[in-house]
Amino acid sequence: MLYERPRRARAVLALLLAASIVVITIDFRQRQGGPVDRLQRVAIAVFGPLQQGASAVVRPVGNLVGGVAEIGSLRSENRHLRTEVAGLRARERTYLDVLGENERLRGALRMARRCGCRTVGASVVARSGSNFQLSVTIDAGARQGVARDMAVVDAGGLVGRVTQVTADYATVLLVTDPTSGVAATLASGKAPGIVKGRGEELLQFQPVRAGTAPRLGDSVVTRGYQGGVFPAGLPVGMVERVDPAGEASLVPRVDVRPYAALGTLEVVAVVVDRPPAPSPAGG
Amino acid sequence: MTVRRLLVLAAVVVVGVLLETTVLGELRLAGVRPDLLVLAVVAVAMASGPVSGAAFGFSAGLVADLLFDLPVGVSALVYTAVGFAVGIARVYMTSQLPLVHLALVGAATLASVWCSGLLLRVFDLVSWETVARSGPLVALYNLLLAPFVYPVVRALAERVPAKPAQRW
Repeated sequence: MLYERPRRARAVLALLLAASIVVITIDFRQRQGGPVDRLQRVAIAVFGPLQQGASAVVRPVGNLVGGVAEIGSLRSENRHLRTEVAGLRARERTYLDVLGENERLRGALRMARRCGCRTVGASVVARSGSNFQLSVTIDAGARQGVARDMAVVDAGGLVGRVTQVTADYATVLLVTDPTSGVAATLASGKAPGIVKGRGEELLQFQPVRAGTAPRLGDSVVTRGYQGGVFPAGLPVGMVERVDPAGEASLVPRVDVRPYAALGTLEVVAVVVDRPPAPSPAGG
Repeated sequence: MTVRRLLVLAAVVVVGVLLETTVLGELRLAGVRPDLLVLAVVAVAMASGPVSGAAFGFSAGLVADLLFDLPVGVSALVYTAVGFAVGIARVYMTSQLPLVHLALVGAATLASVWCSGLLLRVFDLVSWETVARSGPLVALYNLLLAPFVYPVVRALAERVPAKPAQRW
């Protein structure tokens, strides 16, 4: 029917709006272990393989476009030769891809090993589709030993924190997300603080103690503490800017550029086990 | 609601979510990605009216919410309202000019992003600055994609009507 009766339409609207609000309330009251949380895990488990497939298709397509155009121009050439060339190219591309992946994976593992942590490697299968949140989905989950609140690193440094886990996939909240806050300290001296995301490329370091004067180029690393989520000493980023106006104030505004290649994340490592006790000497 | 319609609309949601999280996630411009789902909601609402628009918006929003780590239900709430509003507005949109439909898509996206932002601001999950900035950017990005997405989804929704066409 072209025109639905207005009364029914309004009833449907009211019902759906009420349902949304109920869902928001349930989710907010019971972030972990609630019915919405379970539904969320089902959704990630269902979409994970699809996203993995889609990513696998999308990634080589860009590389292949050039190759396909070339093949088209060789139509008059011997068909056998053409397929062989294409096959070899594809294989070479795969080879280079695997080589690069291997390199990145090694990097991520090396990074984690520096702090003496046990890690699990994973690929990024999807990025958050929301404009207000920065997260990625990775293809490692509970079955690989991943659990909520674990630290995730890449070859450069800290990537984020695991927020949701299914059997085979996990969601990682990036350090750049506005809701992300990580206990950190300056590598050069003892200046504990918090690294906060701002929803953009740079992070913000907020020293806890007044009078801390971070310098340009200082490294910011995670600070381990009893019951804390992150192992100590994971590199987070480099101080890129100290607000000149803020220097006079008690809490200077410090911009930190993350070491992790958050824009082009492909391979990461999840820190599943941190060293027994954070040693003050550091490693 | 026929089974066929349910399947088609579900496919639209699934494809939209997959595109958003894979291809478009890589193609962020100025820090935002387009919101394909709101495009789909506008298209379905224009094709089938306020009730379908609201129901489709609710389902699409819920799926998106479950996959993204935001408070679940925010997108559902906003998309429901957008679907309903567009469904109501279509009675007044007699023009077939593409420009009119583009304007509708732009306005709906802007409203949707700002409303979601406002809700998330209430939960203290975003800054005012991000909210203000994202609205126009996402709307612009959506306008770029609208010529490819909007007609397709609209045609799909019209091909599978809620009730069989009445013969006179």
